[in-house]
Amino acid sequence: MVEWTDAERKAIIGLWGKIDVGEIGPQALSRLLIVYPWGQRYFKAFGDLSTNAAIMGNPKVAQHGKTVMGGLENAVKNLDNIKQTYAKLSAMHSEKLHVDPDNFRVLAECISLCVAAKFGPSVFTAEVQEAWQKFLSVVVSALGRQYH
Amino acid sequence: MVEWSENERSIISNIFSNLDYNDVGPKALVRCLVVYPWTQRYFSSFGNLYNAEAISTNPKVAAHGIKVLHGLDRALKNLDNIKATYAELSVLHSEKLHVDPDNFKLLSDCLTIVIAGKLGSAFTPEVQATFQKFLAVVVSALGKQYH
Repeated sequence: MVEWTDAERKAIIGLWGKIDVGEIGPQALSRLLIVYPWGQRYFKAFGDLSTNAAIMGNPKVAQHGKTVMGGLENAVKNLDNIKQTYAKLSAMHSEKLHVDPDNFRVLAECISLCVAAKFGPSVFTAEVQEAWQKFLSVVVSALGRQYH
Repeated sequence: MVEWSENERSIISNIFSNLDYNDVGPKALVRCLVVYPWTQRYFSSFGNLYNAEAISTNPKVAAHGIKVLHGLDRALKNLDNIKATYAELSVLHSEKLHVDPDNFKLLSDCLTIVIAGKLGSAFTPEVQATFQKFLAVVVSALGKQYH
């Protein structure tokens, strides 16, 4: 089981409280689709993803980014039981959506970069980064857990 | 061989020309040692690395961070020949320093976070893609001479 220090819990919850899911979510997903363009294969139904501008202005991308980012709320509220909390979502991503689990890690990286750019080093300190990346890696692991 | 567009060359050049090496170098190395604490194993001669506070004020960490960042200047000046440019450094890291090459990626991730924090909204997806491509080529070159 994952152990969290009090400082880590405080850092994660504190940072989550500052994050606007409607802002960071779309940014992170757009970045994923631009920087790692093979990710676009999962979003054929989203319409125009042909240029960076199209991706960043695409309302379906924005909406989905918000949905995905909002999903992190469950993890923040269940820090001591993330694996169980994401068991169904994991099965869905594997059996229904057929998402390569490597993409979870890559999206997590994009989320961290958006957070770093938005809040700067005075908020996203080295210690906060450590706690936040540990948190995201636990989420990524839980999402990959039900794959077979 | 790696291909760079004019736009990519320009983005990379801009990032470095506006960089305060004495600030960014130490910050990136500090983050690496804090966020990925096992990397501290390479710096046992650096003195107090006991907590984030100690690491962030440690003068040896700062000096080494600046040195490592200046090492990227070589790649910047030799974008079309990064592999050959880093051959000796790669051998050094493998045979003398015995650094696990996975750590190059960790440090490059921390450097990207520092640059993102510094550029803020100017750290666009295009800038991110270009900078990460540049660092990936450097990381690959540094690992090339390992055996």
